[in-house]
Amino acid sequence: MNDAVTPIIGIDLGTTNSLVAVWKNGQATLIPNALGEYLTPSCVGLDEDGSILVGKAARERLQTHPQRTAALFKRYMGSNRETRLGKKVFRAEELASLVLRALKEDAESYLGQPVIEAIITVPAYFSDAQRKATKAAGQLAGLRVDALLNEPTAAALAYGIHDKKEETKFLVFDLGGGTFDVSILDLFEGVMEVRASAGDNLLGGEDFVEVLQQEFLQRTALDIEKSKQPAVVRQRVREAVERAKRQLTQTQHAVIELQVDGVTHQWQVTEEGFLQLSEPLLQRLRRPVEQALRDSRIPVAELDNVVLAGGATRMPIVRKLVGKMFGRLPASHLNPDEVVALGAAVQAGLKMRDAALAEMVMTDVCPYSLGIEITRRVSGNTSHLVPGHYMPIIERNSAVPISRVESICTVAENQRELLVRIYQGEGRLVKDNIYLGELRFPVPPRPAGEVSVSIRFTYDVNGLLEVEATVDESGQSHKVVIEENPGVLSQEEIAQRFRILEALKIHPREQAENRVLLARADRLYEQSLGGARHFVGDQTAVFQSVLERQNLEEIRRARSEFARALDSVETGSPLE
Amino acid sequence: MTYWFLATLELDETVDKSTIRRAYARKLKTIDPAADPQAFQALREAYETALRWVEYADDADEEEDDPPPLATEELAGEVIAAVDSSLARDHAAPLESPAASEPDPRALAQQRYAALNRRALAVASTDQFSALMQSELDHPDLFNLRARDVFHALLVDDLFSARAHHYEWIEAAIQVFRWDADFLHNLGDPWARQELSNWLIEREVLAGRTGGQHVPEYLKRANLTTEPKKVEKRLAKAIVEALHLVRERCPTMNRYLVNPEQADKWITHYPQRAPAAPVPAAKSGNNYWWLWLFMLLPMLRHCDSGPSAPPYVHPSILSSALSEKHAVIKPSEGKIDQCEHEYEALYALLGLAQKNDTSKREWMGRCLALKNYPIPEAQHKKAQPPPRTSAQVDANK
Repeated sequence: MNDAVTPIIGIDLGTTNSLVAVWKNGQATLIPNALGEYLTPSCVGLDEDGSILVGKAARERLQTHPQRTAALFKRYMGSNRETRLGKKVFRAEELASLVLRALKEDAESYLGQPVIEAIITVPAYFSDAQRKATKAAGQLAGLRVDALLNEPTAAALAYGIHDKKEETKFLVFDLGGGTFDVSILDLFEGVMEVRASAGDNLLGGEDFVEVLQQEFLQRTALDIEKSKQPAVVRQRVREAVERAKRQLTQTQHAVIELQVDGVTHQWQVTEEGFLQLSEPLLQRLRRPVEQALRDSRIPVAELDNVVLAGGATRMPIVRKLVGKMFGRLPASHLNPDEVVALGAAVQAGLKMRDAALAEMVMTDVCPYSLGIEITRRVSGNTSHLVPGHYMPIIERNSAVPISRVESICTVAENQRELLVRIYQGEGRLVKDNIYLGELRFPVPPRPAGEVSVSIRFTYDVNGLLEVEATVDESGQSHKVVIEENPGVLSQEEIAQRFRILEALKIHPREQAENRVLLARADRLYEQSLGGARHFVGDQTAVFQSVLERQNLEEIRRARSEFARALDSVETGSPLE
Repeated sequence: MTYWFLATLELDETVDKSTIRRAYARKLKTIDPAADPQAFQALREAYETALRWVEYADDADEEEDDPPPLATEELAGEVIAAVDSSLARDHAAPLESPAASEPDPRALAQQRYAALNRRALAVASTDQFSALMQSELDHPDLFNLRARDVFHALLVDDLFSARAHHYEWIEAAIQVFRWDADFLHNLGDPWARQELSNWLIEREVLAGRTGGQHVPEYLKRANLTTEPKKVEKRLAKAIVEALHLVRERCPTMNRYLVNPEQADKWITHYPQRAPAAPVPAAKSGNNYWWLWLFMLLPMLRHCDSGPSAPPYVHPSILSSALSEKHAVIKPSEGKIDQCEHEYEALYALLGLAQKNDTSKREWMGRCLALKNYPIPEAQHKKAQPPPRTSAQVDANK
C-alpha cells in the first residue's frame, strides 16, 4: 500500500454490532476497538456526568439505565423518530454517528494517522431515505462517505477475494440483527457482477429473540408492566432470552430463568419449540430468495455456492432452512459476523486502486424499481381515467450506473401543467410504493395526448437519483435531484447538528475498559442478591478508589482483579 | 455489416457466451463506471443485447434436444439427504435419520401438484382455493427451491394454457403468489406474464363497471347451462350481457373463462340489440392492430427486397421479445392479423423471415441492429401513440 494515500476505512454499521476494517498489505484487516475486540455493540448511552458512552459499556447499561441508553436504532434510520437519552433527544442518524465516531477513533489509533473517508455498508434493500440517513450519519461523525456499499455485496466481495476462483456463481444469504438481504453474484474474468438483490428491511435476528420473549412472558405469566421497575425488567428479560437464543446454537435446549420482585420465572425451550415459534419468520426468509433467483435468471442448480453472512445465520434453525431450500450445505468458512466489514475493506482497497486489486471490477445493481405515477385509460361503462398506476422507468436489478428514458403524454384537453410524482417500489399501484419526490412544470395547452414529455431517470453508483423531464415540443427541460424527502436531514440541518454533536462530551477512549467494567458491575449488582450483591458492591468501591488515585500501573492490576471477580459472579450463581 | 453491439464489444459474429463475457470484462476494466457512466451504460447495453442475441440463437438452434439432464436431478435427492445428515452431525445429537432414498425435487413437486389438484375438487371459493395452495406450498416437500420452482411452473403452465379454468383458481394464485404486488410478474414463462398483465387490467375493467363483480359468476352459468332457452329471462339477459362484455373488452378472460360453443349458443339464442357502449368498429378487437400493421408492412417489404431494407420494429417490442427466450412456445404460425400479443406478432414475423431462408440468428441480429436504423420522422410519430408512451396507457381499446 502506498503510504502517501490516506487510508479509506470500511465500516459495517450493524443493527446489533458494528465493525471497522481496512485494506492493508494486500488484504482486508479488522481493526480492534479500545477493548481489543472487533465487535462494537451499536449502543449509545448517556453517563451520569453527561458524557456519551458507546459500545460495550453502553450495552451493559441497557439493563441498569434503560432510560439513558439506546440500541437497535438502525431500524429507525430514515425516519423522523427521536430517542430520548436523559434530557437529550437524538435522531437515529445522530446515534449512528456516535458509533461511527468511536469506530473512526479506533481506526485512527490503529493506523496512527487521521482517517477522513469511509465506505459504510447498508442493507441492499435500504430505501433512498435510509441510505441518505446513513450518509448523514457519516457526515455527522466527521467522515466523508462518497459511497455506500450493499451488505450482501460486501460479503460477496470478501468471499470472492478469498476464493480467488476463475469463474463462479453464488448466493449470499445475509441475515443480520435487524435486516435480511439476498444477493446473487456472478464472478468471471475479474468482474464481480451482482446479478440481483432482494430483501426485507424489517427481518433479523432480533425478531427471533422477540418471538422467544413473547412466548416466555406468556408461559411464565410474567407481566413486565406490573413489576416495580418495568424498564429494567424489560431489558433483563431481553438479555435472558438473548442468552437462551445463543445457547440454542450450541445445545438442543436452553433454560430462561429470571427473578423479578422475589419471584422466580423459569421456562425451558427446546430447539424444536423454537423452530415452531419461528415458523412465520422462516417463511418470510423464502420470498426474497425466490425473487432474487428469478430476477437473476440463474437456475438454482447453476449456483456453485450459498454463502452465509450476518450473525443471525449462526442459528441452527436458519442454517437448516438454507440447507433444505438449496439442497446443499451453505458455506460459512468466513466468520459471518465479520464478513461484511471485510468486504467493505476490500471495496475501500478497490477505491484506493490498490495494486493487489487492479484486476478486479465490481458492478452492483439498483435493488428496487424506480418510476412515476401514471393515469391509465380503462374502458368500463364509459372509458375513464384511472390515476395511481405505477410506470417503472428503471426496473429493479438493473446494473448501475444507469440512465433510462420513457415518454409520457398529457391526459386532459388543454392541460397546462404536468405533475410527475416519483416512486420507488414494485407495486402495480403507486399506493403500494414509496414516494420519493415530484416534478411540476407547465406544458403548452394542446388536445389531450398531443403533448409528449420524455422522462429520464439517472441513477448513479452512489444511489443518487436524478429525474429530468423534457417537453418534446419546446425542448424545455426540468430537473430534480431526489435529495430531500421526509425523514432525511438537509445539508444545513446536518451542519447544525454536527456542531451540537461535536460539543458533546464523549467518554475518553483510554478509559473505555474501566467504564465497561463499572457498567458491568452495576448490572451484576442489580441482578444478584444477598452475598453476591455485597461482593459486587465491595469490589466496585475498591476499584473506584484505585481509579481516583490515578496510578496507571495500579489501575491496570486492579482492573484485571476486578474483571476476575465479576467473572466469578457471572459464571457462579448470582441469583442464589 | 456488423451489429452495433458486437462492434462495441469489438467482436465478430462467430461468438459464444464466454467470448462475449470475456470481451465485456476486458472493456469494463478500462472504464470507471462512477466517473464515466455513459461509457458504462453503452458497454452494458451492448453486453446485455449480445448475450440475449446469442442465447436466443442457441435456443432456436437447440429447440428440440432439450430434455432436462436426469442425472443431476437424481443427484439432488442425494444431496438433500447428505445435507440433513451433515446438519445432524454438526449438531450435538442427530435430529432425524436421513431417508435412504430421497426422491428428486421434480418428482416431489409433481406429487404435491397432483395432491393440490385432487384436493381442489372439493372446494369452490377463491379463499378456499388460496388456502389450499398455501397449504401445499407450506408442505415440507416444497422446502427445496428447485421443487418449489417446478411446482410454480406446473401451476403457471396449467393456469395459462388454453384449458378452461375457474376464475377463482387464477385469482387464488394471484393472491397466494402476490403476482399483483409486483409489476414485473416474474412468472418465468413470458406468455404467462403477458396473460397475467392482461388479466389484471381486465379485472379493473370489470371493477369499473356497474355489476362487474358478478360477471365471472354469469360466465360460469353460461358454461354450465345446456339449454339457454329454459333460463329465466332476467338472468339470461345478464348472462348474455356478460358474454358480450367479456368478448369485447376482456379478451383474456374470454379465452380462459368462456366456452366458445356455449357462448355462441347463448348469443344466437338471445340476439342483442346494439351493444351497450358502442365501440368504434375500427378500434375494436385487437389491441395493437396499428402496431402489427406497422410491423407487417416493412417486414413484407423486407421479404421482397432482401436484407438491405430492414423493417422498423418498436425497440420495446424487441427487447421484451428478446428477453423472453421461451416466447417461441406459442407462435401464431405467421397469421399476424390474429396475434393477440406483441411478441406473438414478432414471432409470426420471424416465421415469415424464415420462409425467406434467413436464419433466425441473423434475423434477430438484424432487428437488433435497428437501434441505429434511421426512422423517418413521420413514421416515428405514428409508431408512438398510446401504448406505453403516455401518462395514459390505453387498456383494452
